[in-house]
Amino acid sequence: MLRTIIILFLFFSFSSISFGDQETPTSEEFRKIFEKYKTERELPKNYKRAQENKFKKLLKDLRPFLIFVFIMIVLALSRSGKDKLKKEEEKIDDSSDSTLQKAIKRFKKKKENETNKDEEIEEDQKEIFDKSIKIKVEKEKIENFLSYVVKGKGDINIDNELLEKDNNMAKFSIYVFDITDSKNKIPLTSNSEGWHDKEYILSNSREMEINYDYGYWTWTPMFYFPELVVIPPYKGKRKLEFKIYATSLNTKFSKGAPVVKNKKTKTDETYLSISTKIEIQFDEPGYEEVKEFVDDVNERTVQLGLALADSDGHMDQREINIVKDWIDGQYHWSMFDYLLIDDEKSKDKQNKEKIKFSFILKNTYDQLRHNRLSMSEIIKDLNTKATRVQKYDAIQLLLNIAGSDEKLGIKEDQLLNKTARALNLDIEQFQKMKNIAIANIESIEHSEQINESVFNITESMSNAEKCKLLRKEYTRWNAQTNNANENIRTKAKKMVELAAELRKKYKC
Amino acid sequence: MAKVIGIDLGTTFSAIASLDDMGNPEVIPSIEDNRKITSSTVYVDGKNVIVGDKALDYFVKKPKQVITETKRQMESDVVFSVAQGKWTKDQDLTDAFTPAQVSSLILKKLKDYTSDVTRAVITVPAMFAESARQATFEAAKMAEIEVIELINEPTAAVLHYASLPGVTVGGRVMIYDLGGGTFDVTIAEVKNKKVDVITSRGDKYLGGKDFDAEITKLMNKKYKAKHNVDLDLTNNKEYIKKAEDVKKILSVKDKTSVQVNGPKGPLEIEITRAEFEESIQTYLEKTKMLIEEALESSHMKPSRINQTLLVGGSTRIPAVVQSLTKLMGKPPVKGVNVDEAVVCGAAVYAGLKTEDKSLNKKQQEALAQVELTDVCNFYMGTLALVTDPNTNRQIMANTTIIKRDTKLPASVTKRYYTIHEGQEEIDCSVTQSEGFEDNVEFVNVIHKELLKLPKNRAAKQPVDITYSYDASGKIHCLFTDVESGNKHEIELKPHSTKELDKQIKEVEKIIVE
Repeated sequence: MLRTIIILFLFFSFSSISFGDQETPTSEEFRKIFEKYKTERELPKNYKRAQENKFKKLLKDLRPFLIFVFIMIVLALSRSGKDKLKKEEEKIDDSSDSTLQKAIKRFKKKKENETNKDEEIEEDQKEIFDKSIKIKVEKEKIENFLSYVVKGKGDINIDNELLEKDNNMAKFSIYVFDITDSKNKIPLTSNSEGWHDKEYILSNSREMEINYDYGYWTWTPMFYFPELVVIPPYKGKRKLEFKIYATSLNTKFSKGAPVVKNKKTKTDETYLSISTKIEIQFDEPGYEEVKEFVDDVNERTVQLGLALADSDGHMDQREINIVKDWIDGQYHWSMFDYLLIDDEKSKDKQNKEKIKFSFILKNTYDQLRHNRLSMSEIIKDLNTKATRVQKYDAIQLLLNIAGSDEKLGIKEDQLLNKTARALNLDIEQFQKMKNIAIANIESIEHSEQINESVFNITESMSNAEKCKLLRKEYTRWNAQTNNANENIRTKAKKMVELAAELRKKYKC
Repeated sequence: MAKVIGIDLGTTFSAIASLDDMGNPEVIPSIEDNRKITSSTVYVDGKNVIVGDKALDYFVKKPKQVITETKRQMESDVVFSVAQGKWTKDQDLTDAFTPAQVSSLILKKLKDYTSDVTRAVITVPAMFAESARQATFEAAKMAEIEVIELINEPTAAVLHYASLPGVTVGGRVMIYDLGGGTFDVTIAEVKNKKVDVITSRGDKYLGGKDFDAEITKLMNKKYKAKHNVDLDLTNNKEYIKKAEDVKKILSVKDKTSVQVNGPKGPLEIEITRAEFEESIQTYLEKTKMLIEEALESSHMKPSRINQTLLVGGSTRIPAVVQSLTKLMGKPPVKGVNVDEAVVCGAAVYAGLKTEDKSLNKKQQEALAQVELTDVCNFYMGTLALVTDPNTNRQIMANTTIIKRDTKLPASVTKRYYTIHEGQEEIDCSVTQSEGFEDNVEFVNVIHKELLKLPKNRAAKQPVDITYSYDASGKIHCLFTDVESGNKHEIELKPHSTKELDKQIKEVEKIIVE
């Protein structure tokens, strides 16, 4: 406040000064003025008036000097103000009890942050104006799938003349490479519909209209891959490179890179390429390992299937047929398997496989008859060599076998539950799969044991957990009591009763 | 002037109510016995039909000609064969009635209790599937009643409670509606006669009829213990009638005796309340699970429910009240007649849906502050090809467009894409399910039609699917091919006119007594 008053006073005092016309006096001039004043003082005439005139004159003479003084005072005051504020801040820091002071502190901090943000935005804008597009990869959930989202920021600098032939359109394609071995860059492959190119290499692409100054101001998703489809060649710590190409619409790709065939006409051309690298921990077998273990996994799955078929004491022909169909399915699958595209199996090889599986069937049957089939060995092997997808495939086979004789027995059900847990599958998902099988099964063996087993209730569960699980199952089945399919409707009514009976038993 | 009418078309009892001149709902009694609720029993004798309590007289004498619990069949594709005396899938029978036809006979009976019934609000269980709702519309059409709207039974009940001048209902309320054949639980927010339904859960096979069946089992157990022979529970309807009486007595007394005629002669059987309560524990457990589910889905604990309102005749059973008190931590409210709350609420809703010019000033004043917002009780979706997250393969799955508990009216648009290059049509399937389901087998496809697409196009062409639910729960679906603008609009309607006309003609020939 005081500072303001002084400033205002000084401002009005010197408001007539035209700073542009005056020059600041030198020290010599100052001395002369002062001496003149001193001399004149020694000769007083008409004292008062003379005094006034003298003062006026002095002021007039000192004006340039006073301006300098004024600036000095302002600077000094402003400095002392800052010091005072600093002291206040220090004081606030010390007195944490004061709500008001806290509020002041928060306000100042907010201001500071805003300033920083402004600076950041400025920095970002600067970056955008300065730099062309960059990409980064983040893990996010897209439509319930955990995915690698590739985001871009910056200008997409493509010469407009190049784009003209495609009506300002460009094709953006993305590929992923395993670069763990820096000397051997491997494009990832995929057989998932919609996530591969014609060579079954993991990719995605889209056409975009590129106008002048096109770009992303903020980090914007450009592509994504569900985590499920990004499978490196081997398990463990892997380095991946995500690479985006902008090309002409006609450009073809081979092994994850654009192929420019016609350099003269430039109908196919790469406009730009951008890449980013990430490191991931991949805990499942990679696709090279899948290739290596596929026979072992299939063999173990067949053994598991036969073990389930035999669990109730007799192997039904319908159950064996389900296993055989599954084996046939594997042949069929292999013929179109993207992994074997360069090495299509000959008929002879297929026949050899059939013989091999016949042997596995017979051998497993014998092992079962003589109680020599080790379930723990099967599970251990599957857990080491099978992917999650293969494990779910195996459990689906078991559910099909369990349902094939139109009756779910207690031993079958218990083995199903144990296997799902041992394979570390998501139990809720497994139960959903099992419910579909149950809905289509004619009857469920009647016993108190199976009532619990059918809902996957284990002894380790607390009463509260059992009650909650039963309520969820009841809700699920109650919703099916109006299913258009009469079989499902009937089964649903039965399951609803079972759930309520068990809740009664547990005194929920 | 046509009356403002509400009808409760129940499993065991039905009722009709109108708004009186002061705007209060009033249950209209039957002309014959002046009772306010009418048995939903139908006795068929050629072209003559008796509906109501009189039909019950034939329950024991001519059981094959007596139709009961029709409401439980409303969503099924069955007919009642008088010759066989049961519901059957054989649609070609000549002496058969569809559930909608039987319901229309009950509606005709109720309609005759008063004059000028042309339009009405009809109540349905909260979890009534689309097919059952359509069957209700058909029944009304056959009875020459224009349906103003269908209203969910618990919603009607809370509306009645909220609109009563003498009853203070406020905050979050739970409506426990245990009737003769169905159970519904609804959680709603009530503020100054404004009702906002939050969620509903229900079981279509849980009600007083099941309790009666449990009592017959107790009778059989005791008879067998004495004579070592079973009672013919399937064919002898006398036991059901006696069980109903036992149930009513045990609601007020600790025990009762009943004379049972079995293959080895009559036997006096004593049944205690404790025995009866034990026999219905499984059913009470089901109601508890549905309450827990409703509370969880509305993110509430029992303590946050201010009042529990009882609706339906079966709530007179002391074990029901005890179980509810234990679960909710406080006893439920007994405000009005539990048999009449639903039909009265339907009449209030009919008043709300009637133009002001058709209401007198008092009626307008009484309804001025009453408001209702209901929710969608089902997941509505369509079938599409998606990637199975477990097997990583493309599978046909159900995808949700409108979620359950969405406030009505609602409209949601989702974009889908064609799969193949040169795809010339898409399958417009409308699915409905009570729970969240992606499995195709676990949803009901309530409509299926093809939408033609232009030829020679690339894959991944966008198709917008818009589902709209109006305030009364009617669904409209629109499938639009974005590029060509080709549209396929679906309004779910009752059976084909031809089929319905045939059924109407059959009902017209019947004389309802």
